[in-house]
Amino acid sequence: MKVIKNLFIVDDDETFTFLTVKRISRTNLVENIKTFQNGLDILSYLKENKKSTEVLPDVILLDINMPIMDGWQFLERFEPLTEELKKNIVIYILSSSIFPGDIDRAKNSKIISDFIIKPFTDEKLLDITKKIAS
Amino acid sequence: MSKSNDLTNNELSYSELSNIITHHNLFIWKTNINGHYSYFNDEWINFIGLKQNETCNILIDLIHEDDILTYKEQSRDAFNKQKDLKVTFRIKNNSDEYVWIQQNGKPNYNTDHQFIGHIGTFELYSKNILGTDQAKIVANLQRDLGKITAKEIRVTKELKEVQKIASLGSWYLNLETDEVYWSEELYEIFGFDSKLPPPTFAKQVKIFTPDSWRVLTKAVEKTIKKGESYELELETITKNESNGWMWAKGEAVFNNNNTIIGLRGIAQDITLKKHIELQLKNNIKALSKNEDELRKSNQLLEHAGKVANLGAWEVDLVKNTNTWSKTTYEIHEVPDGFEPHPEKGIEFYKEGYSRNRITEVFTDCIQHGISFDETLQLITYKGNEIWVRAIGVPEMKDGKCLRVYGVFQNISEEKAREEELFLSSKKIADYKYALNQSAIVSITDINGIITFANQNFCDLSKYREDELIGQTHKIINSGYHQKSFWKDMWQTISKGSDWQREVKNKAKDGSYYWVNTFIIPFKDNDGKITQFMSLRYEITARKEKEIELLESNKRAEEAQKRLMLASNAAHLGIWDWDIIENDLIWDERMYELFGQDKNSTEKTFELWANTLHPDDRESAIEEVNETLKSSDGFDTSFRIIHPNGKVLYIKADAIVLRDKNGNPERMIGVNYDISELKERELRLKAQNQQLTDFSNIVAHNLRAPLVNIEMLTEAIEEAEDQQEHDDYISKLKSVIYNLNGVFDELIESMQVRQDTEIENDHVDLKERLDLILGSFQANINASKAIINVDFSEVSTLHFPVKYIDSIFLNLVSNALKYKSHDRKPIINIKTRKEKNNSILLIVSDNGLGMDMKLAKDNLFKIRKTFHNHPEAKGFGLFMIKTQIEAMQGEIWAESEVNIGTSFFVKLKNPNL
Repeated sequence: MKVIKNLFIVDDDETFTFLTVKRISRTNLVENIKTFQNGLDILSYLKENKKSTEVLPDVILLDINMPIMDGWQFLERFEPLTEELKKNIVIYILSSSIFPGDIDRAKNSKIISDFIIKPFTDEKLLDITKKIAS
Repeated sequence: MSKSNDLTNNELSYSELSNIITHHNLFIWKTNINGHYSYFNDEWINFIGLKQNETCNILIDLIHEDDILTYKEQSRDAFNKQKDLKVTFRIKNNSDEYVWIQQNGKPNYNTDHQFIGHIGTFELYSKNILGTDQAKIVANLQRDLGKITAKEIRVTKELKEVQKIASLGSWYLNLETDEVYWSEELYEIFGFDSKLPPPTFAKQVKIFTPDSWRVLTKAVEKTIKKGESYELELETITKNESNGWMWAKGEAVFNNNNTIIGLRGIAQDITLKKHIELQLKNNIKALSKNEDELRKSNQLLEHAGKVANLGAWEVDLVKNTNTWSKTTYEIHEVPDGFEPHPEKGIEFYKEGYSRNRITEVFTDCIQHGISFDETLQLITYKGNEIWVRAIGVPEMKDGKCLRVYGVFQNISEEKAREEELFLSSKKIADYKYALNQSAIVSITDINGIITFANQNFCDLSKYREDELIGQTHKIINSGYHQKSFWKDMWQTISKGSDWQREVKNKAKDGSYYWVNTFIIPFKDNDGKITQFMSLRYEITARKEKEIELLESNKRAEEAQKRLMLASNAAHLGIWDWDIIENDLIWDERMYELFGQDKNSTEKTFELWANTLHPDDRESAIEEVNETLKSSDGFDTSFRIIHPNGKVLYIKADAIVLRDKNGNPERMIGVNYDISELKERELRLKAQNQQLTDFSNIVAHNLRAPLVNIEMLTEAIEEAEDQQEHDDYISKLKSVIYNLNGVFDELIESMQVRQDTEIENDHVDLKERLDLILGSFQANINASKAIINVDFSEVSTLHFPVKYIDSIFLNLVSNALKYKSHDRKPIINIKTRKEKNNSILLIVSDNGLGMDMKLAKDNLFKIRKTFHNHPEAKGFGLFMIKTQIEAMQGEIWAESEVNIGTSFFVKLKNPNL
């Protein structure tokens, strides 16, 4: 049963996204998985598709450390955009960082649902689906 | 009162006492029965600047407000309990300055022993514990005291001399107690043992012949009843039974109510003089019988007369002629050829009493044959007023006077001396009284054995008189002074010189007191010292204050030294701002700290404000103003620009002192240089930042590949076919390669940070840049890039050559790497001289540029890239920033998308 329709992964680490996409696909919990290289890429996508609920993501797994526009810079620009978006998007930070500064910053943000430390496991995906369902 | 208990029993009338004391520069006051001031002496009135119409009670308005309560309490207490008053307070003098005064007073009683108020003195008293004027005041006080005492010593000595020469004795009779006081000289005159008390008046009958006693008692009676004074010549019977003569002058002593309470007088032995006179009188009598003999004797008389200034005269009533001896002519100061005549002779007497009296006695002499002996005033021919003694003896025949013979003596000098003696004796008696009242007096013999001690001495030393007499002053020795101190005293007074020191004594009860001590040796006619007199004034309170002050000064000095040491060690600058006078005082350190000239004429506040860092000036001044308004002080810091160009961080603490109404009066503060601390703080901040960066690197750049490795190994295990397996293996290799790269970069950057001891090299910028450009030559040629170099402002610097190479390499490489594809790359490289011995290196290009809004936070962070460029690694800028910061430099960038980027490198280069 597909619980999540659209799940986007924003991360410049190609190896990681390759493996994670493969892992999520195996679970059959997600209908569509899309990947982006950095904050700017996804921001442009969202701006272009802000009215199309079909293609807007339900969940975004966002890396922090990225070139051009990092996770934080993206979030700054994403927040004013939420009102225009036709869909309520759930954002998770998905980072290799175990640096408390990053975790605290994520916890203090209203638009971040949680901070997930890499690697992304099946259990973590289940947690997300449970939250989405409820 | 017994003789030895007091120098003089004279009870002076108040006005007399105040007269004396005026000469002592002492201040006298008196209160009435209601406790109000009823009298101040003129000295005091002048001293406090009272005006004629102001009442004595204005005094209270002049007392320092802090002392009024004490003053009122003490004086009320003394009044209510009728006890001694001793109070110290500050009073405004005629120059409107506050001075310390000690007021002393004793209850005053009338003859009926009724309390009639207080009487006492004000003494200038040094208690100025504020410190600065202390020494001056003590010195003045010392000087004034010295003056007074010197005067007393001089007068006492004068008295001694006068009394010695004139054998002048003084006496006093207290009518209330019938007690009699005799001076030493009087004992001598009568040949009495001075160790015995003097005889009462009634017992003095033995001293005089019956005739003289009658005359004396009559005169004394008159004096007691009517207050008339007398002056008599009395015949005395002395111990060796030969008769003598005494000149005696007496007068009544009144109390405040004008009641006679005693008699006092002086007496002089005139036996010798009297004998000469009588001899002369007898001679005259004998000689007068024969005219011829008289004439002969005149020569004799002339001769004798020269000695005694005696002239002779004769009035022949039969012939109505007047004959004068040569001396008589001289006494009258008549010109040559003057013809004496009986009537003319009488006209020389001064009109009034003298002329009337001579007429009277001369008439009596002629008519009744009564001889006369009168002391009268004469106006000489030249108009001089003189005293003469005129003695006349009649020659009678059949009840009729034929002739009057006489002697004539100019006694003006004698009279004047008499007057002077009387006056000085009175003055001296007064001084003695004042001395005895005010000073602590003792007399010793030449061996230092005490023979006299006054009541003050007994009171202070707490010994009874009989315990002191016969002892030496060792009895009150405190042991405080060294042996040499006393040796000096004995050496000085043994030579006959006065000695003065401040002495600490010990009382009978073991308590200590300080006295300003004067020792005066008294000498006999041969200059041999007969006894020593000591005058002392108690100065315990002053001395204790002095010692206390000295100690507190010493403590203050020590504290000052400690403060100096501390402020020097801590490089503390101290300032003191008198807000009322708007006077800001800096200590030397402050001038050093702010790099200002001590002798600068500019206002200190301006110096301070001008030295402040422009960015901090407004807030610092604002803070001072705010503190003045409402706070107790501040504890802040600000930057200044030292004239040497260095920016210093100054820590400033201050306190505000306010008056009763809360208005600021003074502000005191310390400033110190905390630049080192601040620099360390900044460095620590930078290091903390680096640590944070490092944590970030570990979290993101190291952990990320590890996660990948973990995931890949899992994937390899789960691989479904060989192809997938191999695929994962190759991915794993790439991740490991990447991880290695990160490690290498990290280690390289850490080496820079650890390499704090890296040495500066003398770097030729052009030479280094050319080398780097050489390595990019192919790239430059291909892109047809134009490189403009301007090192004209700064061409060399002291910096690690390795880092300079790294800076050039990375910045030039970035400029070439992120070139615009629309235009030919232009790279400008130049140096600029900056303030504070800094130089600026600028590398700007016309390349792609960056969105600084996105780049600014991460531009110099490791593994951060801003272009989708295949070669963007995100290490170069991180590396050079690390290197620049290791040398206390700065790097920043300005950029605009599609216009270009400029990198600014600021380097400290003090050795330029």
